[in-house]
Amino acid sequence: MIIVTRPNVTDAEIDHIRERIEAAGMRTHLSRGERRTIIGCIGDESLLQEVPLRSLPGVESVTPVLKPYKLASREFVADRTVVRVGGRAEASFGGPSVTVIAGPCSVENREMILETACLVRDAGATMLRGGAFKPRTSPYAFQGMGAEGLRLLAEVRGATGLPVVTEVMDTRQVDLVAEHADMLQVGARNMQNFPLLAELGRVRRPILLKRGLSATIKELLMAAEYIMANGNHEVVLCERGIRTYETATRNTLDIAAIPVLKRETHLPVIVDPSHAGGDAALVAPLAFAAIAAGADGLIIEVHPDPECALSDGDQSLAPEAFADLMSRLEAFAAAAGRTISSAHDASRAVA
Amino acid sequence: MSDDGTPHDAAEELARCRAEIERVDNEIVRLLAHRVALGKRTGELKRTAGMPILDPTREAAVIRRVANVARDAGLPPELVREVFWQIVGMSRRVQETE
Repeated sequence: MIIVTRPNVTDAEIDHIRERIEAAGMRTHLSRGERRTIIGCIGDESLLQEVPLRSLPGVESVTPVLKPYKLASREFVADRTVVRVGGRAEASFGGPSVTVIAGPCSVENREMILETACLVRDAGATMLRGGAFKPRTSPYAFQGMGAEGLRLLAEVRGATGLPVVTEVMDTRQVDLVAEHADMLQVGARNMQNFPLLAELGRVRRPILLKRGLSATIKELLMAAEYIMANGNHEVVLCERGIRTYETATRNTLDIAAIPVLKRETHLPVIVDPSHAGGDAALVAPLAFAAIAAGADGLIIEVHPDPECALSDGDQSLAPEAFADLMSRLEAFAAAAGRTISSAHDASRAVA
Repeated sequence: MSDDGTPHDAAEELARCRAEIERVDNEIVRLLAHRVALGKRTGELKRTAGMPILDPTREAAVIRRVANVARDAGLPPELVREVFWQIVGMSRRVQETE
């Protein structure tokens, strides 16, 4: 249920409306937009049957939210959500500019992560990715550097000023990862790990939620709802390709998911063109398509020497290819009415 | 802040602020304990009177009141509401487990 208030509603009227809803045993969520204020009701809506919501002072309209996701639904908030990342909001998702996250699949050693961070920053990325805990299909493949990898990411963040996103796989790692990273990633394989999602609802770090390999858009939004229902509303969704019958690419990038998600939710949507195609040659065209379709950002794998990468070398871009992609991205962003966010924007936002 | 604002003085000032924050945190915990004790007593009285422990109307009134106090104090009412839902929840859990 959402309540849209009258344009001239007072704080006292809003307080009164919320008290009536909360007295019925529900909770409320307030969203003030530029033009309207929305009070979202959370909980069992049958509790509100006895409350004469429409006649309360300040109420303009009362509409049920028919979707199973409430907090994540577009109707629930007045304006689109902008998720800011980093202690000084060095990066943001959902605003007028497109944010590019880049970095290696996994942190392999100190020199390598520092070198990659400098390379991607110089090419225009404003956030660093890097896996410390890696969910690998084979138990015999490189599993990541673990806690030491997190420490290196934090060190490189300090040296380059790039906020860091890294994956958290297990509820037991949440506090440790949150201590070192600016944004916590839920990988595709964990999208429906509900205890993990609930735990991430309790941290005060933005979450990058990747779509499961076989998850529907509705399931992705329900996963976001899990995090939000537990208290964390800073969620960025990531389309990373889904499983289809096509074998020429590793996954099929669901381009339509971008505008559909934009219609269904107020949360920012980014795209991972590296995992979607599983092939370095496909990264640039998929990235361009994503921006043209309205994505708020990209997350791209870059390795200083892809041939020697310990994981996902085939889909990692070499530094030159990444710089080339970045230089061509601007035109696609402009065509979609956006700009590419730069470190300069971020410092201006702070000032 | 010192007159000349040298880094050394800034470090001293920071240490003083942190010590003061610790003192305030201790005070907050002491007040929470006091609030929980009052909640326990309320629970006993409700039980004796045959009233239910869960009282959403009362909780909603508590939240509305503190949001107003927060607004007057220049604090963001939304964040204070969140904190108080946690406190109200803690108080309720203590009453229920008695």
